[in-house]
Parts: sequence; C-alpha cells; structure tokens
Amino acid sequence: MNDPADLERRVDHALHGLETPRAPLTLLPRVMAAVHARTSLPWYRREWRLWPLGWQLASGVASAVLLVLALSRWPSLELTPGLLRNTGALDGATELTNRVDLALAAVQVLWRVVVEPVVPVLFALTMLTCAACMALGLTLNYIALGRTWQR
Amino acid sequence: MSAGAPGGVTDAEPFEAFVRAHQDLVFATAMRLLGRQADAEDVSQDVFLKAFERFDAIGRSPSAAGWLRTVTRNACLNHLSRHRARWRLFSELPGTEELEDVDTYVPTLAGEAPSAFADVEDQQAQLDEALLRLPDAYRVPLVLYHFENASYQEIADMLGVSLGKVKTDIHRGRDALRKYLTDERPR
Repeated sequence: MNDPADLERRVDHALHGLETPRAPLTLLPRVMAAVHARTSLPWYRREWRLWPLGWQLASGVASAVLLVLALSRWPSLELTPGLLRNTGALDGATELTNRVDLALAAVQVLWRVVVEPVVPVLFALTMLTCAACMALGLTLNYIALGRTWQR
Repeated sequence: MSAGAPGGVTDAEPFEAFVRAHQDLVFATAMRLLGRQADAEDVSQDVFLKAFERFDAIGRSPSAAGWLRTVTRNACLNHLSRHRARWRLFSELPGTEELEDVDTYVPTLAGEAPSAFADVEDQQAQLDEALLRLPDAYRVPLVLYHFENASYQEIADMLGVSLGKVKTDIHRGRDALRKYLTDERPR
C-alpha cells in the first residue's frame, strides 16, 4: 500500500487510463488566423529568418561588408590622420577625424574646468549623507524601535 | 520556399490538415504540463506557428509528432519559467524531510475527500481534475515522467533542479493523487 514502487505503478496505470484532452474547437481557427496574419505581412516586416532567401543572402552580404569596412577603418581613425592626408585619397575621412578630435578636446576641457573641481565635494557630500542616514537609522533602532531588527 | 512565403494561401490547406491531425497531441501535452486551458491554447498556437515556419521540413516527416511533442514541452517549460511567480514553488517548497506530509502542501486536494465515485468515468474525471489542480512543482515533473517518458535525471536537467528534488516532488504528486486511484477509493 505504501510501497513507492507500487504507488508509481498504480499512478502510472491510472494516468494512462485517462482520456487525452481534446483540443478546443477554437484552436484550429485561431491558429489559421495567426498564420494568415503572418503570411499577409510584407516580407520586410517579418522576422529576418522568414525573409525570402535572396533578401536574407543580400542582407547577410551587406552586413558582412559593413563589418569588414568598419573593422578595417577603425585603426585609421585613431592612428593615421597624417597618413590619410598624405595619400590625399580620403580627405572626407580626414576631416571627420579632425572634427572628432576637436570635439573630444572640447569635452576634455569642459571636464577639467567644470566637473573635476566639484567631484571631491560631491563625493564628500555623498559620504556624509550616507553616514548621517546610517546614524539616524541606528539611533531610531536603539531608542524608538527597541533594536527590533537585530532580533 | 517555406510555408511562410507570401503565397501562403496554397500552403494553408495542407497546413490546416496538419494542424487538424496534430492539434489534440499538442494541446494535450500543453494542457497537462500547464494545467490551464487558456495557457495551453496560447502555447499550442505558438507551437503551430513554429511548425508553419518549418512546414517544408516537417510537414510530411514521420517524426513530425515527435518534433511537435518536444517543441510543445520546451515551450511549456519556457512559459512556466517566464511566469516566475508561479514557478517559484520549486525553490520555495521545503526539503525531503517533510516528504510524508504531502497534504500540507496540497491543501486543496487534501481537503476534499472524493465522494463515492459514481462510476469509472466519474472517477477518471476526478483524477484528471486533481492532476490539473496539482501545484506546478508537482504536476510538471509528474507529467514529464508518466506522459513524456522522461527519466528522473532528464527531468532534473530540464527543470534545473536537483535529482532528489525531482524524486521528492514526483512522490508528493503521486501521493496527492493516491486517493483518486480506483483501488484506494472508499467501498
């Protein structure tokens, strides 16, 4: 009666004797409506894996080209504005690099002049506020709440 | 081209026949694992949409039923794990030391002694209902074991819990169903 193996056998037998739940009549129309909604979408509004094969290939190739371009150009943006200028082949890229350099320099100046002087003050204020909160909490716990949170 | 092509009208007919042929299998698997009809319908629809996307490959495959069963099972487990509030039962239930006290954890089942069963059909209906009303933590491993023929270790892997936990939960589930078994009912 209490033998687990016997219980397992009897439960298994009883469960397999149950009638299989039948799908409700609404399931088929619901699935077909969802399928219709999906197929009626233009291809570019579906998930990528449902795009036509040609477009999948084209988008894959385009992504690969973009990636290769980005990777091959990245070092030149950092290191070789002078080189690019010498070759004269990529004037647009050189100009872009110069502008980025200028913007970065401006950000650095702003940081040094405006933000850096107040950082220590802000840090000290934050630490003081935290310490004050902790002291208040401990005092409340000790006086008003009777140290309930330590129980 | 796949069944998801814009010219889906011609593809829809064989797919409709496919759904008609397998809807009971998918729904039954989802219903037993999820225990709620609305959830089972949602998951069944998702499974058939996945099948539609791969209809060229699985439409006439002899393993379509197995594929559907596996996808349904995984979809149900994903569905349950997404609803963490319900699934938290797995981590919150006590350990094996309280194994014998199953009624503590299944109060709704334990509180209702099944009335004298009018007939076998009535008894089976009560057992079916009791199975669906089991907490997820008991029902899911129980269903995986008895209906999906998964081993204890496979269930532990699927649910991400220990082997001991699986054995305990399955035993508790069986214990909760004990009173609905034919040879346990009052005579």
